Amino acid sequence: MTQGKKERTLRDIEYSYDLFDIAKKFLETEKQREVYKTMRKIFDADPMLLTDKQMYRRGGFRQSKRKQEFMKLARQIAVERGIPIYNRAVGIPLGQRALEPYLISGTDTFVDFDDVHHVNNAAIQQMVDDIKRTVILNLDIPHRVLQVRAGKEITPETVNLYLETIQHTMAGGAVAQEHMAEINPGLTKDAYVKVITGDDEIRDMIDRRFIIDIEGLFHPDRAKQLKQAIGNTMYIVVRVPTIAVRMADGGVVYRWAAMQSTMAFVSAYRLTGESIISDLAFAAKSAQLIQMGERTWFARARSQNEPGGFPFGFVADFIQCERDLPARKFLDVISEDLEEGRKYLYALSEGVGAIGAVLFDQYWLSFYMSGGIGFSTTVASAGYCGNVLEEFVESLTEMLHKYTKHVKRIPPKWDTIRWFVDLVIQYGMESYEKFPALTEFHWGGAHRISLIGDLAASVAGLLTGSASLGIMSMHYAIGLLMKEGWLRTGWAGQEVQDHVGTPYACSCRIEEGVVTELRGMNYPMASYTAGHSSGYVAAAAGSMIGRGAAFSTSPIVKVAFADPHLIFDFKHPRLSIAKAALRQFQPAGERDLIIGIK
Amino acid sequence: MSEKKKKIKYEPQFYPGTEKVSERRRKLMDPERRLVKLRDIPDDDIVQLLGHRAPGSLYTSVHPPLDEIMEPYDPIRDLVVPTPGAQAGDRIRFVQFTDSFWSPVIAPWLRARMYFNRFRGVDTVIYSGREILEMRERDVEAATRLLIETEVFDPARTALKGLTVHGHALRLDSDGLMFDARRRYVYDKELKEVVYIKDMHARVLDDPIPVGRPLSEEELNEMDVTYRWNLTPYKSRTELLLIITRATNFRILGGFKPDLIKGM
Repeated sequence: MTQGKKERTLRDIEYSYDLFDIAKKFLETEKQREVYKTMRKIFDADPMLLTDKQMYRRGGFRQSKRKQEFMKLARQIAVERGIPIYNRAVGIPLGQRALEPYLISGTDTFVDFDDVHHVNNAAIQQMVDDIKRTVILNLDIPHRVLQVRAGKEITPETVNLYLETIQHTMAGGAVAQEHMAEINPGLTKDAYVKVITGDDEIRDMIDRRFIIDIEGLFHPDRAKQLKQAIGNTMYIVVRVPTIAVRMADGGVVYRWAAMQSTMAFVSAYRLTGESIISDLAFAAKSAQLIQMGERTWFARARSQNEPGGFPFGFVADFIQCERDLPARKFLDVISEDLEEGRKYLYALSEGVGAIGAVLFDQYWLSFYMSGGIGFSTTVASAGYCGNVLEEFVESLTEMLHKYTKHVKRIPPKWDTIRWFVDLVIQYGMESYEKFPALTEFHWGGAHRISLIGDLAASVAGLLTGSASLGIMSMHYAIGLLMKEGWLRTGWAGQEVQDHVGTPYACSCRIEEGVVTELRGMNYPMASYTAGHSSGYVAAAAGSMIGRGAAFSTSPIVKVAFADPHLIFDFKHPRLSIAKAALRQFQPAGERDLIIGIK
Repeated sequence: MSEKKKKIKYEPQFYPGTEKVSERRRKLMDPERRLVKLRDIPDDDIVQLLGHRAPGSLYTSVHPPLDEIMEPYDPIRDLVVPTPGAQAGDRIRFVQFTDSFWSPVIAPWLRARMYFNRFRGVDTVIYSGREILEMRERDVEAATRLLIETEVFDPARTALKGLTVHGHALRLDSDGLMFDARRRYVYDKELKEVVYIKDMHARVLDDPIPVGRPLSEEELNEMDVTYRWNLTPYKSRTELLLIITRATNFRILGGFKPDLIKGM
């Protein structure tokens, strides 16, 4: 360090010379940016003005239609039950500033901020439910057991009979005993089973209603990769009814799936109480079971298939936004074709913002780590509202295209990638400095670290195909680059995981780390704060796109979430969230059928 | 060993870089350098703004003065001289400031570094917009005086906020003041000063307390401690960027395999 004793370099002088005046000349160009237009719509004012003339004069909480509704309803409830409820007369006076409408990114839907709270948004709930209610079973062991030990023949007819039977059992229908209490199918109409296979012969023998059609759903390049990785075997994707995970938790799913699959085998293959049934059950419960998440640790103990245990690599596979695009290495695409490269980046930003951020930053950290109002909606919404990530991505596309022309490979090394990370993050930081309205929109440091982390992890993953480099870049960008530029990051301790995370980035020792894709929010460093988790997902999903891979961690999980019968749309997650905000999304798991009409 | 051991004079290093932002950061962190006093705030006003005790009242004690109690022997006690508040047995109290994002004269991380270098007996937590400083009561009053009277306080863009702390990233109000949902302070157009009408906890004061005139835009630009695209762009801060990337490099290698670290 020079402590100010060194002569100013030529570069220093060049940059500081009349910069303030020169900068003014660029302002007109800055007004062409999407962020300017979006913020203008949101705030109904020039986003570059540092002053808000209307501050303190907006009528308090009454400027929000939704909050007015809340007050009206709360009064009614208070009268009916005799105990006060939601009451704007207590606590902080809301609405001294603008309670601006929220634009769902990539749509033209403006909603109230309250509408994207996960308790108010049925699509966000259904997204988590759709993941929680999924397990995948392989049928190789059951088929072998049936053939070798029970002497049963496995034919297309028997397999299809089993598949038809399991649709019945999965929805709560009885098959083995003649006098059972059954479940109203109207409550479990979202329960079903579908087959995934990489083999065309197996596919052709299965009733098409039960197939997830890889070739029809994915770009041919991706379909080829996926089929090759899945191979000559047969998996069934089990969707347990939403109402089951709403009443119990994710742990019920593999039990439900194993029980009902075993009963379907018993019925379809005419088995009785023989010992092979335990082998069928064991295969479904343990030996050939893929769950979406591991158990979480004791202090936040939850069963399997709960958000805290979803590996980041699986989340990258839940995301379907890129599945129509050719499976090419991102560097090859962006260095050749700006427009094509943009599609990949937009797909990544939609998936990371509307699935990664919502799943962890919003849902997991709000419900499972904290509770109550859910502070984390404010943080996560930065990833899928206001077109902000998209705006940064737009500029990122142009920068990467410009600087990677004729580049065939970027080695996954820190010294190589740092330049790109600096470039992108400094651009992002300057955007906040240029548009006070944007900074007001992202009024907490947590919003900003979330975006900065996403961008840094994405750019490193995309260019090198390395998720480890992605998280290193995220930690560097938040814990050092952003921090030293502005002398602030997020809320208290928000950068702890950046400082500890950097040395742990390449560690596979217990309590320190593991391969990035296999980490989840149950990884010790990941659960401290909201704001980082979308960056972890960005590292996994970005590196997947960077490698030109059709899946991040599991080809089976990737295919399972392409299923068009899922209620939440994992290909267009923001659209689902927007529909729910407008009260146009129909979730599953409702109890109307059994409670009558009031 | 025939060679005499060379004496190396320790020279504290506070921050890298040659431009004005680095220089501001160095200055605030360096306890040897005096902060410029810009305003006078009477003792009672400080006490009222903090709102922990009534002016003139006694300090609440949580233990007898250290002189009056027999403590078990501990060599650290011989080395560390207690602060006046600790000596007297004061309770721990706090002061909290929010620093605007817009040309701040001090910002949360710099506060922490400054507190650690200039004060003793502190506990602090750094947020994106605000920072809490906990000390023994009379110590926190003394620290608050320095933090309000000197160049690290701009009445418009630095604010005492004990609760309802947010507002740092919002646009400014029509008088150029940082947003405060509790409206603890207003701009007095006649006095041309910012006056606090509520204490740090947003309880209404008997009499408004003036805290001085807001700094001009030119003064703020000169005193800004953050890098900004149109004043001191971050991207050209070569030395600082080299240092932080070097730190990252060493952290990664140190976590993975420390043997790989070369050139420390």
